[in-house]
Amino acid sequence: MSDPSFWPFWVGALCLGGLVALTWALERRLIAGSGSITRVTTALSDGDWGAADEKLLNDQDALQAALMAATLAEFGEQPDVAAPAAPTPPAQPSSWAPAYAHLVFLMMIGVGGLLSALQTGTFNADWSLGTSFNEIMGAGPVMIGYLVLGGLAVGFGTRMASGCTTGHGLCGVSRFQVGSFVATGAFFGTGIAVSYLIEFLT
Amino acid sequence: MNSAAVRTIRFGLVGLLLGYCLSRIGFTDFGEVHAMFLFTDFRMFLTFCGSVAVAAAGFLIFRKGRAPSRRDLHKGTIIGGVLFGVGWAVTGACPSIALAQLGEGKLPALITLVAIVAGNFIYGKVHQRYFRWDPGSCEA
Amino acid sequence: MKEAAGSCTHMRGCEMYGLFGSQTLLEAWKERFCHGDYTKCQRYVRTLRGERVPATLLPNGMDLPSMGKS
Repeated sequence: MSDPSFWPFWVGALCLGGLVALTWALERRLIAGSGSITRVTTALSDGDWGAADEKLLNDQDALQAALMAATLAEFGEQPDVAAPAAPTPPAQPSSWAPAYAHLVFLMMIGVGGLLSALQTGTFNADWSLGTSFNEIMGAGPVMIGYLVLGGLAVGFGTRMASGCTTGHGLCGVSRFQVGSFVATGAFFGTGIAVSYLIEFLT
Repeated sequence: MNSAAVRTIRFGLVGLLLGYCLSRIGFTDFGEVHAMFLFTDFRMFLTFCGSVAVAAAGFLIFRKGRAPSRRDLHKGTIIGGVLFGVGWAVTGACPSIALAQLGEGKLPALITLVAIVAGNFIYGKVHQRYFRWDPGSCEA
Repeated sequence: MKEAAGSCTHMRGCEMYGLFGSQTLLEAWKERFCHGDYTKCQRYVRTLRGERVPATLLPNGMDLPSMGKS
């Protein structure tokens, strides 16, 4: 049975689901671990952490001037445009954030884990993923092998599917998005199958 | 304090709460995740389903301004999902979980994290070279 | 490339579309790209090529930060 220090399901559901809902309500933003990883990975490889873009986007005067200059460059003159005939979808409030903000988000997940472990008295910095991992999967070089191959699969797969448990599961399925249902079904179903395979083999 | 700093702090706060919740629920414990997949213990599965339900209610209540639909079904969805499922069952982690594990002191999670970033990077290159399907959005 | 039917499928989440907003002068961009031949929009093109799309990339491939400077 679960360690009693873990939250009962309804507490976890309220807190995790509530966090997603509140982040949407107050920040107009969806939580997505793999999305943030993609932003950070890209920034690590091209060195652009978004500070310059952010500066321009936050400076309304400079932004307007740049947009006007660009319009002039593209259309040659002030374009004479009538109001659009068909209703166009409204622009969404900007959900863009520079890559460094995503890095902060990711690092703070770690801090959250730290606080939780400190609170339950389970903080223990050591070379172990816990007794359950050691018992089921193994320790030492075997563990490293699993983590490397498994981690590669997670990184590759989440980017390929455009989402992870929070992105597709919590934010996609809850908004009834078809792609998220399929993705969540795929990764959850596979997780079940592989876990049974592990049980069978160990 | 300028708006960029405030926005970054808010990002951080959400991350903090996410890591805290994942840890207190038990997502960072391999045994709990394994039991969830095997259905030998229903607590975690119910937590996941419940979270989705609560989030769904929240999205319905705070409906104003629909979020961009970035989770469209596309060619990478199923295979990507399957690959992720394999990795999750084997490591017990998804990106957020690995970070929370590291915070708890589970140092091997660092390996998981580096591998996740590497896998993510490799996919980026593979997609550029071989896959031309529409992922549904211009954002990353 | 044949003319694309309908509007750009990425419009909803597009940062640049948001910047165009409802300003009449900027409607020209939407007419030419978003509701026009969006397959020519550099943001769309780069996405399909799997390249990163900076928030300030214009549909014609120009970069907003470089526009502000004379």
